[in-house]
Amino acid sequence: MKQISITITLLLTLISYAQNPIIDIEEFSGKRNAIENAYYKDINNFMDPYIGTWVYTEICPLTGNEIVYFKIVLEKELMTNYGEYYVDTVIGEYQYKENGVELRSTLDNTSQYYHGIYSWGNLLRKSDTYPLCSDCPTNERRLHLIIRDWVRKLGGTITLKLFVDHDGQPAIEGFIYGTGVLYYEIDNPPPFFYMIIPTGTFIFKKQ
Amino acid sequence: MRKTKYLIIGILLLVSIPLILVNCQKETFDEVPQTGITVKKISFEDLKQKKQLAKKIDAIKKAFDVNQLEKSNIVSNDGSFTILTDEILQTIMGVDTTYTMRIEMPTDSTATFENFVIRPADSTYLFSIFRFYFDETQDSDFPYTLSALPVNASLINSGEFDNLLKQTIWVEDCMFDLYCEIELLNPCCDCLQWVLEQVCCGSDCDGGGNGSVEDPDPNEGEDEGGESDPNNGEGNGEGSGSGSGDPYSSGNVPGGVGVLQPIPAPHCEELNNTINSEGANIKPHLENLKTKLQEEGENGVSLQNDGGTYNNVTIPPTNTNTITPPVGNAVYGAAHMHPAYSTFPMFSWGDVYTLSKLYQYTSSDLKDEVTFMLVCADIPQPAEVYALVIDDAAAFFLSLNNELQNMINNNPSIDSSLPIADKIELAIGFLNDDLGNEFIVDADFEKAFLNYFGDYNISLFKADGAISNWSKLSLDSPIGPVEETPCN
Repeated sequence: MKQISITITLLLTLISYAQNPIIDIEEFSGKRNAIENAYYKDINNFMDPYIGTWVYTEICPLTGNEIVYFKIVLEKELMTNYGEYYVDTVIGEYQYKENGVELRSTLDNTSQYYHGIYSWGNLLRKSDTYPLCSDCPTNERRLHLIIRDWVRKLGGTITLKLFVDHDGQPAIEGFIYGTGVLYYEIDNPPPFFYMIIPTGTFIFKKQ
Repeated sequence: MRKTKYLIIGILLLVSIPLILVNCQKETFDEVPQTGITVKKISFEDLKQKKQLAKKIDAIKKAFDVNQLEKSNIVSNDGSFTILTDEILQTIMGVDTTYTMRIEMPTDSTATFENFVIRPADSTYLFSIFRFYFDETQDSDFPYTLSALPVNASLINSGEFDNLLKQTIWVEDCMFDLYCEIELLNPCCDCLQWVLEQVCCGSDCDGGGNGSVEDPDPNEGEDEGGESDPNNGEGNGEGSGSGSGDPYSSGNVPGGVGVLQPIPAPHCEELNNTINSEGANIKPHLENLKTKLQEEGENGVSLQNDGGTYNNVTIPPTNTNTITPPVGNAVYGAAHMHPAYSTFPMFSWGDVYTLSKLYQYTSSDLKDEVTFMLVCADIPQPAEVYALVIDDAAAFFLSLNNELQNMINNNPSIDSSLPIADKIELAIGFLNDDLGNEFIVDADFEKAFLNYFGDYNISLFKADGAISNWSKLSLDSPIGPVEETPCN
């Protein structure tokens, strides 16, 4: 009986593997090259340390008032279905405030379509991948995510890099840049060219 | 005996593996059976008999001079156009039926003729005006370029119809994205091909096609105070929807006469003109962009030609890896740079899309000169200057839209109910990252780019170090190497 169980388990495993061959997500090289039904998995769990709630604050040194409050909440989504293949992804929401006024927030979002932060394909970045990072450890990965301003209908990218701050606490250096309007009609410029969240570098602390 | 039994069971299970695997494979099938196209002429009375159309026809009647209905014509209240209803073409393709009527005098004086088209979509009907422009440069069976004026059905009422032509817009990406909107609704059809089949449906059919855009905006009302919605599909489109294919000649070739042969676009002459001091003279600007590569943001220059006078206009620099070139009648190109440490040293997918916009919006006499240039550096290699040009505009636009549509259809993150302009904007973001994923795997960016866009009917050129000559980059095989063919 034990042998039957082992045989069946082995067969089911084989069948499952044959249906969804598991491939390291770092081997994902674009949708055109994706293997049908493959599961591009974060097999080294590079994404896991980024999961959680992170907050950036900027305090006025004179008044002690909070000038900027920027919170991001990240979670890992396993085996997201992209029609012909599956990919581990990171999704998230954010809240951005200036001088105590909330300028943008997706924290209340419950829709799969309107995440404030999401990703595509291989979101892991080695040190020699753009944006380049000369001091990134070779055994760690940055996350390359898309951040979106759903009100202005503009998106950009946010590249996250883990590090340990001077207090010995985990922190993330977030680099937000691009992508704004790709073109505009010369006689009819749009009211906004960029997201309301400014580009630049933000140091987030783990909550 | 027991071991033998287990062995037999094991063998049976092993034999069954292939069967299980085969049977469990994802099956693919056409959701909609492919059927032929049926075209027949019907009368306006026949049209009114269509129950589903009755309400819409009533709506039209409110908007038109009712008295004219009995005269087999429909005249808009403002008199801007008249729909001829004495000959209506009913086109049945698969499960869809469209109705095409000629417009007596084109609403655009430059159009050769126009059609008014009624097309089913879900449980309603959509209206549009298709404009056909004779294009003598196209030596083909269908020497016209098309553009479509979507007529939002909600606008067809007596109160608002007077301003119809003012309120409706040339939807962004009018010509081609509109077709893809059609295809999204008709997954059985090939986008452009389907429209052209509608147009060239028979010897007695001199026109037709359809399309409309109704943009339910699920985000309506979410805008925060003080901020208008820049991309609302109904708010701002002014762009022309024209597009054209490249010229073809029926030259003599060995073994036959009349075989269509593409004429290579004279890109070298046009590109050399951009750097010629007696031409556009953008070399100083390109040299200047080389000095900006270490900066955090992007810089650029807009290439313009107003009435024969070249003018290079600096685009305001940014502090991010995006720069926004203007497009318009007198704008035939742009040059920009990618910051050396933050951005791949090659054109992005969004850059290729911008090239299409430069082409779409520029005047017809400047279309041959359209180019989008990039100054970048693959550190520690020296800076390079690249130029993108279009070989076959129609094929290029079709490839772009097929890619966009594929991304929109297969990405679970894109809400299918969004307006097409929003879906495109989202898809471009994903496609930028998708191309980036290929760059990550193949750090020979020129090769990776040529592979990715190999069938897009665009060409990639590279300037020499002194920016005094251009070379066309090409691949004989996907694995390379990249070959350079100098212009001079």
